[in-house]
Amino acid sequence: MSVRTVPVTLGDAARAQERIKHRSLWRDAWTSAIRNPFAMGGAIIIMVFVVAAVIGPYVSPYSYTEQDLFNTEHPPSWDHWFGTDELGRDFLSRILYGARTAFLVATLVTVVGGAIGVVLGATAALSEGMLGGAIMRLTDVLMSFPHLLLAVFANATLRPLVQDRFNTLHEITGIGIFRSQLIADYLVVFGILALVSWPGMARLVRGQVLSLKHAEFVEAARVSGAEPRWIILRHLVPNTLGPVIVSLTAAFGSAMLLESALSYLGVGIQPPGASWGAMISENLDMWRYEPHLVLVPGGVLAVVIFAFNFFGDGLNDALNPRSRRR
Amino acid sequence: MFLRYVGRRLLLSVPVMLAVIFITYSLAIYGAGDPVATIVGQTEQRGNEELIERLRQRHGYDRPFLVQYVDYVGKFVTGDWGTSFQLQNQSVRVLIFRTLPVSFQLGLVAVLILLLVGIPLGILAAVKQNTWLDRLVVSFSVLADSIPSFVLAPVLLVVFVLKAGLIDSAIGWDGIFSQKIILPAVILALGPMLLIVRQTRFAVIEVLQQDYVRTARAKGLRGRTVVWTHVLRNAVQPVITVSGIIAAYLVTGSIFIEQIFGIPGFGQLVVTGLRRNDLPLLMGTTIVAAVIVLTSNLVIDLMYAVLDPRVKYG
Repeated sequence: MSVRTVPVTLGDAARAQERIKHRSLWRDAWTSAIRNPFAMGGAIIIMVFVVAAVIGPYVSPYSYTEQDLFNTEHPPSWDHWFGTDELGRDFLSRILYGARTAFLVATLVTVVGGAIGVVLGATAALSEGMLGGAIMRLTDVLMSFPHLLLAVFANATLRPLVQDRFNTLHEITGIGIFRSQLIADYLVVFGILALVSWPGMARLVRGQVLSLKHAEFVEAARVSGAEPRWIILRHLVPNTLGPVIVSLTAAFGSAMLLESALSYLGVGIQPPGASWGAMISENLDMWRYEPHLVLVPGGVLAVVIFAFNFFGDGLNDALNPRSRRR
Repeated sequence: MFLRYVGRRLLLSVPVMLAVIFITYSLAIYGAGDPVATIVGQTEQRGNEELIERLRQRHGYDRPFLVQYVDYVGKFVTGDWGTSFQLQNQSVRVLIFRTLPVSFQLGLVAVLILLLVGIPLGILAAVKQNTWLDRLVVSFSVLADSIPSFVLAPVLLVVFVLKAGLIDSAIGWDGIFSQKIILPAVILALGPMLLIVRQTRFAVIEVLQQDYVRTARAKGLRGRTVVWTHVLRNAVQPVITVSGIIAAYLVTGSIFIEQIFGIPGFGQLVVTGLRRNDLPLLMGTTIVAAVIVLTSNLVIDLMYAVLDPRVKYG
């Protein structure tokens, strides 16, 4: 997914005016977002998704690995709201665990990838020497790989390595956590997605900071003797925050999509771990006869990504005064 | 002047390409472990250290990493992309060049659909800005963007082929002039649709606010004429700008779509390499995918220079 570049330039005069009216950009954004039904609808779906991911596994009626071989491929019923899969596992429970997988991976990827991107992007913009150039060349290189292909390739090469290291660590330390293949899986998937997700953010932040650095109000602050720290905290950070938040929302959605795409291709979360993408590919053969086995995870995935898209658009309109006025 | 610009641009993409190969190669060497041991481990000679050592020497894996890297680059440039581990030891280059034309044709049809549907939709949304039509178009494109192709493809397959019977057989590949291409091409085109609609809409809205458009209106030109003569030409550029992203979308999309529709293309090859853990093949496809994106970026830059006289060759 592309990172939206949203230039936000709010002159100091306009800022002062707003302060007089006791209105900040953030309060404006909040009112604007509240009034946007699409953004609010998206926000509600996202909240449901987050709640399902956090508490879902505790309230789910069955364990996500519990097999009932006498009740395989049941259509939805009162006992199994979303039916059961080919091993008789309760589909609702697996969907809930899949939500946890998607949420966990996407959150980690967004936080880590976003942090790396912001730090490197800001560094590239503020230091004009070799370092900045080197960072931007690195983003050029990483962005010339289609994300999924780099992720697939890194997965094929790094997974055996990580699993090997995990086994060694388990032998040395005897700590149970290193025996878990599932944690190794999560680690590989989330590391790779963080690797491919930061360059977009770095470019956005660099562009933002560069355009602000030579904006008149920043020059004015500098001329009047403001310390660099003051300029960064009072001018650069607040004005960069809006686009960064919007882009983080988009990044969260695309991290979710990439995780399920990897799992769909069989290189993400391995069975019996639950991932929506893996659930789709596991049941694709049966799709003609048991459509709910594909429709439910596919539909849930699409709805959540849809919600993130609408929420991101709403945020963009709210945080970008230029587009709001139109 | 123009040729010098082309040359400069080509020269600039060389280091990027070298870095792409460097990342791919170091991932393959350091990540996956010793390729020779991996292959031998799959045969009856497992644990035969002497054999492993002999094979390592023969294939040059005992040399320092940088030497191996430079050697790989040299081989890659001269067309020796290694042999596939699994597919009867076929040359990776032959495999890729056999499948690439299929994907290219599919991608071409998808781009055609994308442009013929996306640009008019974007213009429509911009001209009718903030009406229900605008919201409908944008919502439709967001929806198209939200449904992953591996969800949409099976749904459409069942709806169009099994239930409605509109298309007799949708699986396989018969070239671009068969009805089998309709579904995969449409699904492939839906991926970057949102991007195109958004870009066009935004560009047209910008252009509509320009003074020369107001002048054109003021001198009495009809709305449609204004759009055709003034707006369209200026609105195409932002679409060209995102072509690199579109290329990446198409390569990625082809992985899922070709696998589901049984199209023997590049994406199918990637899935095969993945399923069989065929590292030389995956190295080839990953580098070639990056080459595709880089090339389209290059072509875009050159087109930009040709189309827009304001762009300086520099």
